[in-house]
Amino acid sequence: MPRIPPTLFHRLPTSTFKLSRLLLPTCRTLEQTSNELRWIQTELPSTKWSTACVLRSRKVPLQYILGTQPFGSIDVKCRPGVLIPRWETEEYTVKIIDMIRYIEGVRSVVDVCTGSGCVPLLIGSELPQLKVKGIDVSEHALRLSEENKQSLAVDNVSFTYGDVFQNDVLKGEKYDIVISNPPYIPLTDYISNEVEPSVRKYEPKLALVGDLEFYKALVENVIIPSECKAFVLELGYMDQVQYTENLLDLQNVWGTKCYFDSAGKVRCVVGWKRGTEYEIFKDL
Amino acid sequence: MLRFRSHSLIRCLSSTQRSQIKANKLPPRPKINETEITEAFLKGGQGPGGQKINKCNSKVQLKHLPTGIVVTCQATRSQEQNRKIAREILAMKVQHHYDPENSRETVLHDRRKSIKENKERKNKKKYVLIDAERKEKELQQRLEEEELLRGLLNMGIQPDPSTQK
Repeated sequence: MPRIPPTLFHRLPTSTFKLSRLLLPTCRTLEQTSNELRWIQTELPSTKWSTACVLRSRKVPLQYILGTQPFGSIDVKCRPGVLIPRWETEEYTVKIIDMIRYIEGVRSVVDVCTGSGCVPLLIGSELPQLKVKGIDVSEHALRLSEENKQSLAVDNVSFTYGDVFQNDVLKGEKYDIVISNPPYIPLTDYISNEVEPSVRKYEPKLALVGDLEFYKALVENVIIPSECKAFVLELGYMDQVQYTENLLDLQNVWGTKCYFDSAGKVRCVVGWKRGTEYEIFKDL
Repeated sequence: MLRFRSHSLIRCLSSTQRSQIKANKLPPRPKINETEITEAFLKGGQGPGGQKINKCNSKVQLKHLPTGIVVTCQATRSQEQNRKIAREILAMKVQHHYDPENSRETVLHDRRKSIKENKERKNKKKYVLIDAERKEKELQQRLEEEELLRGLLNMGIQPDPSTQK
């Protein structure tokens, strides 16, 4: 990472210099510094500003400092130990909600590896007629998602413990749509510089490190037993897309596609059962 | 009933008069036609995304096709909020572009200007008053001193000749 020119510090506004000089090394640009300072000042009481800036200077994610992250129309609580919802996830979740509005007879959705519960809560609050389930293996995540559910007052969402690597993770329940954002960073990449230091230092490794084994487990333990008609799995690499596609019966049952986020990165593998209404998922 | 009474009570106590409220009323917020705009979300930067990076900003960029006006907004962390705010700003700008004289932007600008001028005038008035008071006081003091000197002279007190030697 190139070093920050010291002249940049001189260009910080003098009125807030004491706080913004702490933020600049983490934010790296004047624009981002002023944004983050503004968000800290608007969302926290003035007694906590200096603590927040000191924490931020140690690269603590801003969402952990402020305690929330906007996700579509809802505000999701964030706490250390649970992955912060990403904008990519928000983007495709909003698109999925628009898809579901078009399909008649969608009754239930399951989100595996739900974390803070952002995906089920957004779907549940936008589509109150659905039954939405969130499953996670982490106790921290379950506690936080339950808290989020209480504070947002969404009644049609429920969270339970479940491990994707166990056959009976769904306990025999059936769902129409499966969504998942499993850990998908291979360990070699996690150690390399590709992962932001703030992510590696402060976000749970459990929610980040994983690879093909998750997609195998998702197909075998979730997608096939749930008898779902469509699925969306978040991922980060092309080989994960191909691997998942190879596990499915593409000839007769499934149609699949690779979804790219608005930054042009491969982000999801999308699947739908051929000959059903759910084929509109090919437009995701 | 109770609500009505409490309401009327508030109205009676309020110092703002009806005429004043009407005079300050602004033209309605302009709306933007969704078919005339393109929207882009700028997440900024190259490199990996997804779980590897934790971005907290979401910049919304709107372009009004007929006029070519572009606005960006990242006032809040929420993309939804930013989209709303960006639309409001763009609608104001477009209205101003088509009708600069009667647009909400002009009215707002004029109002802000007049408020500022009023404030300055008031301030000025206040200081003019204070200045005048001070000058009068000084004059009074000088007059009193002169009076005193004149009085002393009239009493016939002459400088002591022995001290002049």
